[in-house]
Amino acid sequence: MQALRRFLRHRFALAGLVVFCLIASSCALAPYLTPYNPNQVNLRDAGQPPSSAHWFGTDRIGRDILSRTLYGGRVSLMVGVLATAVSTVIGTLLGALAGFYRGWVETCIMRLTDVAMTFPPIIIIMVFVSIVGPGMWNLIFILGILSWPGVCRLVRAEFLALREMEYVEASIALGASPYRVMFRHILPNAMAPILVNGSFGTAAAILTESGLSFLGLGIPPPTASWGNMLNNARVISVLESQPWIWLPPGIMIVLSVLAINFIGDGLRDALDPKSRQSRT
Amino acid sequence: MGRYIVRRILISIPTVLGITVVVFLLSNMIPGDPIDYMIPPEGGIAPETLERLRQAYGLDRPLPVRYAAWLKQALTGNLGYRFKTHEPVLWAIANRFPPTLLLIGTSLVIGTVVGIPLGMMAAVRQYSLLDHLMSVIAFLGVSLPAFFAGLLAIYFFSVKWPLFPSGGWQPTGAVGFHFLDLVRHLVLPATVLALIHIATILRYTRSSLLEVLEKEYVMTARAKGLAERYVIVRHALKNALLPIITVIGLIMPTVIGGAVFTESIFSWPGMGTLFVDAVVSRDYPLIMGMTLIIAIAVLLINLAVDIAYGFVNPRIRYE
Repeated sequence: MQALRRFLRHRFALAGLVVFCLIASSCALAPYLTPYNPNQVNLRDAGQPPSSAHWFGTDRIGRDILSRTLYGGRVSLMVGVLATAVSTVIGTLLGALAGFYRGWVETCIMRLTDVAMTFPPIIIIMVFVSIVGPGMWNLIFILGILSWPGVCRLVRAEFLALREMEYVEASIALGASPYRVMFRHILPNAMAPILVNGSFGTAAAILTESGLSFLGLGIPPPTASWGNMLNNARVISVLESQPWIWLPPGIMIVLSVLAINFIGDGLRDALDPKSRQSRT
Repeated sequence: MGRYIVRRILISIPTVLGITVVVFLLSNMIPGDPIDYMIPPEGGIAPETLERLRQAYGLDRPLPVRYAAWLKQALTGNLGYRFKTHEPVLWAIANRFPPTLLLIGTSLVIGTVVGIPLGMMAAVRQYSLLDHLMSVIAFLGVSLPAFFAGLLAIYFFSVKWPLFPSGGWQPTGAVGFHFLDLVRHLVLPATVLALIHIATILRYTRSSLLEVLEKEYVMTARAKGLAERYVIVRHALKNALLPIITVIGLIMPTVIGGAVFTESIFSWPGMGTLFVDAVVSRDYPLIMGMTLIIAIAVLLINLAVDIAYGFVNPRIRYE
């Protein structure tokens, strides 16, 4: 449709899509792209710079960096995508309820959203991590639970506007249940900002996961994740003379987040009817 | 205006209390308590001694009682003592406050001073090479994780070319404060932290100025024959500043938490590192105290931003 064509005209967004698909697929196909086990310790070949045997070199206890980067990408990307999915579902539900029903339901939910938004999420995330413990699924749960206020606000705003539309009035007059009106009539028309927010949210989630893993509060070793691979760089000798250990995961994070942000920007321009880019 | 402020403060109080309740419950759900951290590695402490220690610290009383006790103390300004080092919580936080404030403030200033002019340039020459360059810079600023940018900064400007120190805010063993030393230590962390502010402020300045430049009064000003410079700075920019200030106001509360990673990388002795330390060592009084202080700080900042916005935008002042 129109939006797809607009998206495809956006060069950066296309580039972002290509890059992200490349990264995602190489991480998904990790077992076929590298012969080494990412957690295989091999002290004889520890600390080797890139060579024909190990394309990205080895880390300080001999694990192959390329395979760690690819397998770590699986973890980091999955956490990012799934956490955003969880928070989008929760936020959409709450926002829909708030926007549709108004009244005290809306006040309650919005108060909750306000409280949740004013508080720096990092703080609550760290406290949650110390309760439920580190680990991939825990992290997905925590990050998902804490990012819903943004989506909720957006969805509520959309619902507030869309509920005045004639087709809503018509479907209610025809006897549609609130559930049907909300999710089969209004929601499909509210998808645009949800999608845009979702893509930016994924980028943010990847950044948060890597930050937490970097501090030691995210994915625990020995499982690779881009964040905890960067943790190795806190040792000055690694930082200085073994850049192959920390540059690959860092660059992958930047590339993925950049690509996702470009995609989000393209989506926003493509789906926003009031887009400033339209020169017609 | 005064009533607005009073109303805002009154609404904020239950919010702050609510946050403290949540954090209190959370920090008590953490498995293990501070006593477990005081057990020396060799072990060999009888369980009865541990129980007595727990009683001495009041860790065996029911939760609501402990919360009420904490609240009563907090209202008189006593936030308790750290379990770990027995120093007063308020004192520990207050010690870390100036460095964090310095870092955050400097990064916001850098972000604004660099972001607004760059955004203006991008808006004035829309779709030019400069504009696209600014877009790329903005995207990079948002996509670079703070700690990776910090690592790169340390690698290039501390290790490869020893221009700046790589951590702390004083040279080791220094006595007293020397302004130049402080500035040297401040440059890298503040710039790294400012990157994302530059990116955000740049994008909002650009889009806001673009919107304003299409308004009729700008066309009028141009038709009157005013030099383009005047049109942009004296007419367009003033009106474009409103959303920019809103955005800056929105950024400000988040900076408090966002400095955590940057402070860790640069070993900056601020509140971020203190909080990580508190969480890792399950230091409940410190966790609670910091949460309370941060919650109050965030609400005060939001209130200040709202008031400032009321001054800047006369339209909402008379609500």
